[in-house]
Amino acid sequence: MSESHDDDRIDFSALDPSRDRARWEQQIAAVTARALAARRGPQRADGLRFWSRPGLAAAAALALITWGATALRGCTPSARPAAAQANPIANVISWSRGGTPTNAYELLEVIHGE
Amino acid sequence: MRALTDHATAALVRRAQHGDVSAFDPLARAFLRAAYAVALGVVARPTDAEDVAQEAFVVALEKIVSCREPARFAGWLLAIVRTRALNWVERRRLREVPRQAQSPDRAGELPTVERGQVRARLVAALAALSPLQREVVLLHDLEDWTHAEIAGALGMSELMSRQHLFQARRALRGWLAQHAPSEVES
Repeated sequence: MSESHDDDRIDFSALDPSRDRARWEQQIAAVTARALAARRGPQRADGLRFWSRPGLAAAAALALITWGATALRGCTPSARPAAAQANPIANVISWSRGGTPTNAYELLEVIHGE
Repeated sequence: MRALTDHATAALVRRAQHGDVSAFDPLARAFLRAAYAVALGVVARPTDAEDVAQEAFVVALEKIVSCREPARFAGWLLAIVRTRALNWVERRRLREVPRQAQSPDRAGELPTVERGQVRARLVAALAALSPLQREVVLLHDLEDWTHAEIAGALGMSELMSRQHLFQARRALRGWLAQHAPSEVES
């Protein structure tokens, strides 16, 4: 095109960033690499988002199973005294009373006869 | 003239929009220099302009899906560059005001004196132009864009592009003639 070769043009070659070819190639590579990295970032986040719901569902199911198991055994682990678990005699007494584990209050009542 | 036609540009942009990252490199090769030219017109420092151009280009590639008219990628990109360059100037102004207050002898310094007198003179001369004149003359004389391409990217008529170029060149020559190298050095 003729206007690309007109004599009036100002010589801006001193400001041309691609004069240093190697440095210019580095800049092109840097732009491409940064854009790629930026694109991969959200993809990783999307991956985490994708797995977060199944993960939460699995955790909820596990919690439900644990709670159900302890409920079937008649008391929560925290409500059950460690002494009773360690004492085989108390366990025998509770079994003999109806086949279900006792709570601390009932156990004390039996032991002290009150 | 640009390295890519509007048609070829649109094809690359569509590929990038559909996740083909191999389109990034040819887009950067075709338009990073133009991004630099526009950034230089705003920030007036070649090294800063390189940083702004890169940063803006990365942002543009990141959100390329929002480029609604792939054939007009250049205009869309240059708008991003301009915005980021203006933000850069504002940040630099805030950063440098305290510094200049500490050393008032630097306040009258030319916009930049880096890497040789020719470069410094050109940058100082460009500072005498309006932002639009700088963009037009840099895109035309540095980047080799045609008036049609400049008009399309900057949203003006070809006639306006020619007028801006004419006025910019005249102002630049006037400035360069008035400021002989010895005066700039002193």
